[in-house]
Amino acid sequence: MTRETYVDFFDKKSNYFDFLCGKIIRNSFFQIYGKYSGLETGYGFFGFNVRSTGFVINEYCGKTSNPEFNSLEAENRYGSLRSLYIDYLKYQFPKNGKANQVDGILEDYLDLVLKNVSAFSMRGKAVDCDSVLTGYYILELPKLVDLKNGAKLNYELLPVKKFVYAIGK
Amino acid sequence: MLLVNRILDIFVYKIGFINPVWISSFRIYGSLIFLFHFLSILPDFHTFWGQNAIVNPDIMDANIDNLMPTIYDIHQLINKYAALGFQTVANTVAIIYIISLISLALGLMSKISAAIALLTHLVLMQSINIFIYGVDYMTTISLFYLLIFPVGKYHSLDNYLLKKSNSDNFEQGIYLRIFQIHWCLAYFFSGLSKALGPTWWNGEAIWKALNSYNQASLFNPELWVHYPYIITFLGILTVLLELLFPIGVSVKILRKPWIVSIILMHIAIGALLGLYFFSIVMILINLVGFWFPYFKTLTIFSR
Repeated sequence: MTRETYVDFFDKKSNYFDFLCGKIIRNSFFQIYGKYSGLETGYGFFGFNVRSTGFVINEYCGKTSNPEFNSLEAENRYGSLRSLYIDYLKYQFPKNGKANQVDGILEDYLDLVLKNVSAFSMRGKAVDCDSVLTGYYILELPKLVDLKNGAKLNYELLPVKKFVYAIGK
Repeated sequence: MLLVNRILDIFVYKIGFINPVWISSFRIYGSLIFLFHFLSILPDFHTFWGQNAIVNPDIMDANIDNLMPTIYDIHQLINKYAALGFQTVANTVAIIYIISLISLALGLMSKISAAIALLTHLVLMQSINIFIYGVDYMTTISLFYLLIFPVGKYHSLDNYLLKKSNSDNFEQGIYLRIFQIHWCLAYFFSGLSKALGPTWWNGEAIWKALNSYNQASLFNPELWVHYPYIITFLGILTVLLELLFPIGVSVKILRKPWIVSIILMHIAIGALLGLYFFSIVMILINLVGFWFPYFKTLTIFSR
């Protein structure tokens, strides 16, 4: 799995060994064993590169409105979802310049999840406005090398995708 | 056959005395940690496993392999025969999971408890597959090992009530080696994937990780701005600690300092990234796999 991610991440040419490994890990026996033993995870936590941090921001009647949780554990789990949205970049900027059908479906799926989260954030709120603007943004921060050279720490939010949802009164 | 004997000779026969406290600690502390981890999300149980969850159950169900049923699948199946609410099914699975972990901690019907805990854990996680993270995979791996290891043979109600015989040193040696080899490979590949990219060598990866917004983090990432060289050093240290883990824990003189360093690394992950339960589980794995088995004396806990 590490090799497969390596080939994909660094855009390397795959060889027969990769093909064989791919066959093995996608074998149904291996997949079942991986699921029940936890081996499916691979172990490349934060490997190659750490994903950028993403935020979902809902703007409603000029105010931001985000999901509220009662526990830190729920915050951590919501953090996993936030990092999943970064796949939008993969779908919007496909490697060979052409999006494939599966990526299109997965992007639609993320849109649907984002809409659900947005609706959840609005629960229990007074309906004063007729729409909510939901956006997914990536946190842009200066590189460490620039900080070493004296750059100032500026955080910026780069929009990746935005939606406007109408609210039925 | 000679080769097999030679391998067994090196890896199992010459392992020396193994303190059985490792296997009972794994069961007792592991089950309790998984229990507290699950209890910690109960205030938001309905947000994730509710009929009207943050993402609707049928939508979460659409994005998975079919290797394990979700609560949504179980609900659909039951409703072919009897009308039962989604929430009732979700609550039942959660209660079974909690009871099986308590039973496993006590060592009551250890194998059955571990099997039920593993299956219910997988159902619960499969049901919220877009919200799972590292600790959930570590829980699956640990529960799988709790299922196949003879964890009920020490300090358990099974042992007390059924007078089960303890496993001998050789049997324990095999299980311990399987466990150790697994984590050596895990750390090695984790280190390898970090070493293959440039960002762990120049500190950019740690800098990015420190800035991955998390309310549970104890430190403001801005505090680190003035110490970029420390960040670079920590990145390189992480790669080396993980990549060389199999060597570090195999050389007797290096084992304890290496495990202490790895534990400090996991404490740092917990404090800086807010991944407390992930860190606690990893610390437990290191202690039971590479520290407890080498306790010299049979204390009251390992009798």
